[in-house]
Amino acid sequence: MIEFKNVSYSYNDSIGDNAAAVKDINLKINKGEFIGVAGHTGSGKTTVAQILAGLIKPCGGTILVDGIEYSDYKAAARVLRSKVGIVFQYPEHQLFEETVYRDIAFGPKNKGLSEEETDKCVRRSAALAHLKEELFEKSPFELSGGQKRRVAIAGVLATEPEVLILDEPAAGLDPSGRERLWGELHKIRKEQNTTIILISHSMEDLAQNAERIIVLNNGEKYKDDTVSNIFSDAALLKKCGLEIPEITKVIKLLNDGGMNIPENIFDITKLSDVICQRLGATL
Amino acid sequence: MIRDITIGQYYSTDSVVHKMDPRTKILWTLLYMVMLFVVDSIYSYGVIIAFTAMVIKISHIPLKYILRGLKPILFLVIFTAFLNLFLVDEGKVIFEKGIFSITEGGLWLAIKMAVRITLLIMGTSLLTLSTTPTVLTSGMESLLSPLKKIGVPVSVFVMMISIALRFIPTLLDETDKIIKAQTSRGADFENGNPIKRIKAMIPILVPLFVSAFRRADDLAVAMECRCYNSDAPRTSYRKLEFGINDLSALCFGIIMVCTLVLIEVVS
Repeated sequence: MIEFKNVSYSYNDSIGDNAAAVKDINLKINKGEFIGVAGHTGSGKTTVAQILAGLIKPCGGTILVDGIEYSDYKAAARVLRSKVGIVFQYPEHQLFEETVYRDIAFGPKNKGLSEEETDKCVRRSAALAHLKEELFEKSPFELSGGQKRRVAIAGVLATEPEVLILDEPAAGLDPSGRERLWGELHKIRKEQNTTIILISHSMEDLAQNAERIIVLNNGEKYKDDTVSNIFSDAALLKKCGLEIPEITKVIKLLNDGGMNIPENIFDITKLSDVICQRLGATL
Repeated sequence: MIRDITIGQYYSTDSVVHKMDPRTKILWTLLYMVMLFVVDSIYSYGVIIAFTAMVIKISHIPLKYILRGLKPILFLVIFTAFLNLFLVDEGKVIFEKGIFSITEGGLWLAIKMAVRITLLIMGTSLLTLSTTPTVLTSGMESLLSPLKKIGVPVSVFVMMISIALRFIPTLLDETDKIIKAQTSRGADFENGNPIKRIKAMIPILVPLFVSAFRRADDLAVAMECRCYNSDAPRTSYRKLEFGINDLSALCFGIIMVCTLVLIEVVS
């Protein structure tokens, strides 16, 4: 659906030198996928996300949207912005309206939807983000941190993006808040067939949720594969400063001790089931 | 566009100008500003331009970088130049069409104002580019310290200035991020009539103010935790030293003032 061909980007830093942030990236994002983006700090994750969202103009390369190549960047940016929604880190810092309802309605109103359609959009995205309707008339600034974040995410969902990019959406949330967020993302994906791109430092979060992982290292695409293939090679990940998830480490240790457990299990309950089964079989 | 603003930014390099005492540089900048707006003769401007070029050369700051700081005020320069060009009615008329007329005096004043503003920005940004905010504020504190005797809270003012300078880049980054987030939600900052565009600023300004208050709050708590007391006598980590370079810079300043006075009197 969105395709990058040799896309690169460099920042003009304050001294005037060019610092390449992203180099020759080729990637393909298909409809309905759940993609994880991993990489250490400064690897270019956020830059790639902003290029995808049509917010910064790449210095080189081409972007294809639905197979169409746009020669004019302005046209490409317009299409990208209408299709891609991005939830930045700490999205609650972007709330500005007097009421929760009006803040969520900002996106649909900008799209030029009528009052009725806007209302439908707001209610649907609030429900997706688990926001109760009684909060609608409250000021977003008097909500709790977790609620603020859900309002901000609902505000992005209300633009009905086909691709939803989330940059560290769980940062600063408590464990139950994180679990709920992942649940919401899977629900959004199932109900709207939305492509989800999750940027995260946490390998656990990526392993649990994504199907495909793109690993970035120093602005280059290092690896792009299914979750189980990515995490099967710990040495390779270590090279770019990443670790395999804790659960995979445990499985590897168990296997070293003679247990034969498939490494593509990333769910605790599933793993305990398999262990019980193995133990029951050998005992 | 936001990244073009170089006011208050420091360019790190090794040069005589960078090593100079901040007090010398502040005094020189003040002197420079006075000179710019007092002199009138074309020769004096020549001297000042040559001097600016020389300082830029020995400061090792790339000219390209200083010129980039001029971009945001380009509009102001052109606007004042045009006002002077068409509104000043002095001397011989060189061009006339309908109600518009350009006179010799107007042309000269337009050029003079454009040169003045450009040099002013270049000169003052040389000060901030070659001096870190902390050193700059300690220089200011030292220069203003006589005012303490008459009860002016100099150190509080200086602390406020250094905090303000420190947060310029942070708030610029924040603004950039907010603009991107709202753009992604379909906000349009580039099109529409002026009233629409001003209205479009609300989704940027409200979060920016909220975050500025939040940061101020956090900073106040952090300072309080380290027992900050605005009335306590303060010593500084870096001692200001007035060296031979500073003395010669000030002597050079006196010579330059004399030269300019001479030029003005002769012409």
